[in-house]
Amino acid sequence: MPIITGDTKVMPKGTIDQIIITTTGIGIAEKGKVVTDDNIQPGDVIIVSGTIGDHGIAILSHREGLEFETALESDLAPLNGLIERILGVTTPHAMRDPTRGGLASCLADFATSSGVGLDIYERDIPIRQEVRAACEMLGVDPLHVSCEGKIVVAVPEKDARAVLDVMRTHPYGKDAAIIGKATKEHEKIVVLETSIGGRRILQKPLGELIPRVC
Amino acid sequence: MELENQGVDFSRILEEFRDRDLALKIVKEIKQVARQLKDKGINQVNIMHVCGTHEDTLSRWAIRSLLPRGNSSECTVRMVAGPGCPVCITPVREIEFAVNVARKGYSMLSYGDMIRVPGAYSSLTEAKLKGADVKTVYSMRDAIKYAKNNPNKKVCFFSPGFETTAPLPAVEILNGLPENMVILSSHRLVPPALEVLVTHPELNTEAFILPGHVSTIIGVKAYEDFFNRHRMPCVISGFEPTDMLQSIRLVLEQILKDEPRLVNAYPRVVRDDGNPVARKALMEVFDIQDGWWRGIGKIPNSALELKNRFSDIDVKRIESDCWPSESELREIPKGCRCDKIIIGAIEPTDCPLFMKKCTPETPVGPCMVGLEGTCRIQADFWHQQSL
Repeated sequence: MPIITGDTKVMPKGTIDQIIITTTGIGIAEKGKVVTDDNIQPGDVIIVSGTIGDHGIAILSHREGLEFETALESDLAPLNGLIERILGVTTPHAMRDPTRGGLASCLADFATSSGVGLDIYERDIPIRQEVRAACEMLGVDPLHVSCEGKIVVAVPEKDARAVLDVMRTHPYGKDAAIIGKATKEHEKIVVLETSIGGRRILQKPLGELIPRVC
Repeated sequence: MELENQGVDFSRILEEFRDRDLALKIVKEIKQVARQLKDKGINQVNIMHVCGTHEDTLSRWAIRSLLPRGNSSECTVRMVAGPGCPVCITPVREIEFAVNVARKGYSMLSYGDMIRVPGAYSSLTEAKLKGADVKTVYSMRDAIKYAKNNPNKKVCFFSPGFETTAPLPAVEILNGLPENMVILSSHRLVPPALEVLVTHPELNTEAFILPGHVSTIIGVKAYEDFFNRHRMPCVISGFEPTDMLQSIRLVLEQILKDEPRLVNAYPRVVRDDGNPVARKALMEVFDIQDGWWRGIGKIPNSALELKNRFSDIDVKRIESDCWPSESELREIPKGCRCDKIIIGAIEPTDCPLFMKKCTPETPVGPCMVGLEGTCRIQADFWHQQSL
């Protein structure tokens, strides 16, 4: 099955007066190997391929004119190589990039599409110290900040260890981590255990707290 | 990031106040006191805070889910959000005044949520859509820069906020503003509001957690009169999760011993006499006058208005014909319960509009617009109490 992708952009009136670069992806999907986000089973393990929020914060701090000791760089990266390794170990039950709306949006979609609950552990989510600090200064939640070079996968529990291992041997997956699991409880809802042990619902970012960054 | 240059890792300092083991230890202590309170026949303790950032800490770390919820052996500990969001309490008369000033040709600059907050029948966003020059800034510095870069425009900075924010414009005003710039002061003071809250017939609170940021400026002493009059437990709290848990524990212990006290539980930042430099600047620039609070009404001695010597930058005086007429003012939109939510009498989920007609994308009431508003924060962490 051939796949052609495109990109649409919403820009303020009067700003499209210069050259705009856009990209198109073309590919062939192999039958039976297409992974969407609606097949997560209770017990599945959720893995993120690395630190989250790097891209959004790099863009945001540049826009807001903030300067940090460590130069924050976007995590922009091609993910086909990393994904091929994962597919060599298992067929994930869900896979997606946490771009707009960040990790929170991606997980919320996983839960609704698959009709399962997710238990996520805040202290297991990899976040760079600089990103964490910048988020505090800007007053944004790192889980709402976009990534450009990360993927989130849900895999059967029996394969989780092997998937994590192959991801960590790839340069774009070296910080991969297990951040939670799917459950029969609280169907379609993502519950975050905060790092001090409280429990709250994790939902998609609302309103326009974060400027659009991708 | 200067602190880092001196070898102090700023982020690590904060980590200590977010320690899981410490937090859970305090939670255990809170539960123990809750059991003793139950033994004394107390079924519920209501603690009010009056700060948007405290509400954010409670929600972000899911602290309410860790507090005793009441059963046969322990009392319920309920955290109540009081009037802690400067945008939410800005009265409609000042919002409509700002709209009229913008329509008259001024460039109106303020914080993002200030521009979106609805007045009685309009908002600055609406004025902007109809052609007025309305701009979001991140600080008054940006407004000054804008005025300097646009010498042909008349620039007005709409300045809201409590004691925490007010010293910044005070200092800028003392340093001198660009000639084409004026100020719309909407600053309010916290202690006079506490006084009104405590005598409000619908108040359902046995203790106060006091705002650390405001207290940094005004100091512990500023609450002494209030405390001596009402003898309710009062704890000044910081903003990290263990700060707030600790403050809750201190309140409960006071109630258990029936020994109300005024305690500074944020001594690493708050001093007895606050920040004298900031207070001096405030007193040099502003007079304390009676002020309107949205959803609450007129509170004596609660507003900071520019002194006579600054009348040439006081847009309230320069454009006095821009005030809306009293009869046009409806403080709270139809069906909206923000007036009850602001004083903590009801929860956002008790409002029939909450997350139905009134959402962060299409806010109806002020508490949904202000980023520190009780409804806005509850929307972000919706259903948290059900877990």
